[in-house]
Amino acid sequence: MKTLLVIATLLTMPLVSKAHDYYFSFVEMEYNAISQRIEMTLTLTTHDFERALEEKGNAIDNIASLGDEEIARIEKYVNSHFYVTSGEEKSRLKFIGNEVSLSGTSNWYFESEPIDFQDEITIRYDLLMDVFPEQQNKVTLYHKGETFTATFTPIDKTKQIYIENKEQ
Amino acid sequence: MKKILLAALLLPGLTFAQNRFAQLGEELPTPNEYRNAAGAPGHAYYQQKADYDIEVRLDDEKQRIYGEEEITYTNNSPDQLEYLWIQLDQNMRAEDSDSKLITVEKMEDFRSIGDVARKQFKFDGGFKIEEVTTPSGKDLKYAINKTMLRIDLDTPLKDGASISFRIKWWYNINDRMKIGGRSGYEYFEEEDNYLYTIAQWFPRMCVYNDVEGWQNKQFLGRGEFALAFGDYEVAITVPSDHIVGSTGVLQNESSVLTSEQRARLKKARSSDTPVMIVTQEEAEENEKEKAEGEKTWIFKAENVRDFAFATSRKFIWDAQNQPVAGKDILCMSYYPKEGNPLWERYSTKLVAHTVKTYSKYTVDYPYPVAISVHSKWIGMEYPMICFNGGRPEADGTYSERTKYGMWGVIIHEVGHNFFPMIINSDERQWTWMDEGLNTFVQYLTEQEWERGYPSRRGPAYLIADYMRGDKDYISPIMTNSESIWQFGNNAYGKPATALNILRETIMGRELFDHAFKIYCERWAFKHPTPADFFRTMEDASAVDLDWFWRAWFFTTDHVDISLDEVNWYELNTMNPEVEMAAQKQRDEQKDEFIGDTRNRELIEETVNERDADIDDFYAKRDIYEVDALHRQDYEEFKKGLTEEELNLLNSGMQFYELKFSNIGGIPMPLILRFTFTDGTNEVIRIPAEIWRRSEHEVTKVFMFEKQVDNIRLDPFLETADTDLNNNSWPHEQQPTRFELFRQKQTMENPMQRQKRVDELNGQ
Repeated sequence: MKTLLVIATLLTMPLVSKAHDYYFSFVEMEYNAISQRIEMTLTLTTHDFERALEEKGNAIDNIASLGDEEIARIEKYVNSHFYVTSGEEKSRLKFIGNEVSLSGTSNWYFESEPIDFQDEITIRYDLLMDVFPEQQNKVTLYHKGETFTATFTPIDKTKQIYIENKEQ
Repeated sequence: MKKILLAALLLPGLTFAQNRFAQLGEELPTPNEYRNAAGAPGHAYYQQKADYDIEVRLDDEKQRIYGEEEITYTNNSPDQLEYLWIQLDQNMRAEDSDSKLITVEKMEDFRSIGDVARKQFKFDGGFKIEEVTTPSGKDLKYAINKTMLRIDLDTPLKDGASISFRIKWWYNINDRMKIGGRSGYEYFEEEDNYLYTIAQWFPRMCVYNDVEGWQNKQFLGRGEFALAFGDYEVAITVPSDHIVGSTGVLQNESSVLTSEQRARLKKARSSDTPVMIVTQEEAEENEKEKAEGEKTWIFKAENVRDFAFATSRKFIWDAQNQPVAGKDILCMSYYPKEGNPLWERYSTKLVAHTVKTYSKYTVDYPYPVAISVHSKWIGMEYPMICFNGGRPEADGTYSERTKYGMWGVIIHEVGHNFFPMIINSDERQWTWMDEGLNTFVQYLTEQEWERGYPSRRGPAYLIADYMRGDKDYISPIMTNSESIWQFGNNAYGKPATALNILRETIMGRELFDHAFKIYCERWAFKHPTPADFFRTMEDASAVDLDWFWRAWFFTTDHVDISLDEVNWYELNTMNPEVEMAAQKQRDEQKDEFIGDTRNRELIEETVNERDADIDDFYAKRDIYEVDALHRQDYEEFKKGLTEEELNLLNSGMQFYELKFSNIGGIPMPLILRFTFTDGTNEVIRIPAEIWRRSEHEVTKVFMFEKQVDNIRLDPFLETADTDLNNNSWPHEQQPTRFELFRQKQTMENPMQRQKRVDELNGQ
């Protein structure tokens, strides 16, 4: 098993390929105060995501038509590379659905388990960075009528967001 | 350390202190005799020439390249050169290469044994330089600095003079599938075969010019190449059963091709559809066994800046003709069976379409051949030849996404023939000058390939996610290739979007296309710089674009223009009959206090209703009644007006004062769609110069003869506005992607609907 792991990881050598200069993903998220859940859309290059899943031993047959077991593996992968910490709580995302576009990107829809969303949160977002050293991710958070953005790179994988309470 | 992010709304506008409409002065180099103020080559423009005569042998057993070359370098500059610089790109793969040393690492990168193995992975890459001599064999003094080799000349090379010298070398070819790379080999374990895509394989002259002197910035892996034009004669020795596709024109067909292959090639030269030169059946037969012996394929290429080739016994080969401006271009594809069925169906047709379409927007394709080679995963370009991904599944099926991916990469890489192979910018310095311009024309070419083609880059709205918000890890477009954050969006997507916005919104198609073509014609087979592009686009169009270059190319600002406020006014006609009635109507439409409504119903009779003596003049008068004095005043007023003024007064003109703020920083035109209460609409375009004196807030008054129901800013998604929530009056909140998905989830899908239609039709 260990040997397999080494071989699998060897394949993750950074590939310089000219036409493939994307390495970018976006999360658009909003806290639903009624359901107390984070609702988020992850947008990324489908090809990157497939490669990352494959190289981590989670190859998906057809990303546009997922089975339950594949969804569970994707949830596990995404939850280990994107999470929000609010106070003592950490988000757990559930897959809602996805849409794969022909231009090469796909949207992945997730909803968290209920979480107490405080004014100071920490976001860890290192999705695909373990496979692509140039990966860069960006979060856009819509909350209390404001827009917050934060960018994540392999040397800056965790960020805190402080939400000013302008109602006071 | 705690990092606190404030709302994005607070950040914009701080990154740029200078007036956004100031002319580009200090930012651009002073025009001179080499590059003039119009953006064209100056009267003293020069460029160097490097001609190559190369013999190269592929060792298929050891996966090695052995080469020997004679370079003839002509100094067309007015300067004397004490030394010559030559590029050794393969040294990026040497064990002591800077590319490895400068990789930033953390301990968390070493979490598993696999991570450690990856870090310790060894490959003996890099050029092994064996000889650097005069043509007669006398050793030349030379020094190697990483990816650069300097030859020290006994006497300086005078202006107008030429020098010839020889270099002998070898190197191990990289396994592209394990190590990566723009070139290398792919190993097919099943039948123990290799497919080689060979590039950056010979020591190449650096560019010497009026801008950089020697462009000898080290090759770190990202910033690509700056190369001089020249003529090539290359003899490529490979196993005798290999098929070779290469830059240039094959000189010895009769030595390397069968008579049948030559006959098919002849047919292809006049065919407007692909003709098979080597069929899949023949290629499959060929790859079963390895033949003894070698063959040498000889190619010549004129006026190219580089030379690449591909070779394998697995190659299927097809070709067709594509005329461009009366000249025949032989378009070809080389691919293994693993590329089918996609490649035999589309590749060569895509090459032909790209060559034809780019020629329309740039310059006529000048070379005799254009080639697409299939290599898994990558896309990479060289003169006349490029290596492209897009591989079907092992069972021969493929997804629609794979098909569009293959189409896009072929158009993009063939398109690179124009940028930078012909319009030869310095890639080591400015990635956007070839990738951005090429991605822009790629978009135009894709749209002419298929109506509604799902282009990934080009339309303005597609760049919004990248440009908005946090600017910590994005760079201005005008950033050196090695220092760019987010290479793809910065150097491909954003410049392509900027050009699209110029074409569709700022300049218009006619002005843009003319200026863009002028730039391409001026700088074909020359070395343009950013200033040459910026100046030509203005010079050929009479549109001052300094503000646009400044905002889009020199800053990281984004577009977010907000429609903050709308104030509605109506012209007072002064006609008492009209105004009194209107006032009465307005008063009647006012919201009523609930107590008044209830009192009217529940108080049966008030005192003044019971006692007629209570109501006096004030209570009895009709404030909306028009009396003789009103009429007399109006008649007097009319006497002071001309007939035109009177008509205007009676036109029912509505006034709307709109207030905008520039939140993102980039000034853009105000494109407004006014929809009226009668359902019609009108689009008004205000040039970006409205922001020239007031960068943060502007107001504008619009007059209509009918009432406006709603207003939409940027209704055609043409400015890359990153926040559409502040673009409407009355306010309209745009749903998030998540909300849109939720909405779609609750709707029946088209197939479910069709099922109900069928049931209704009794089927």
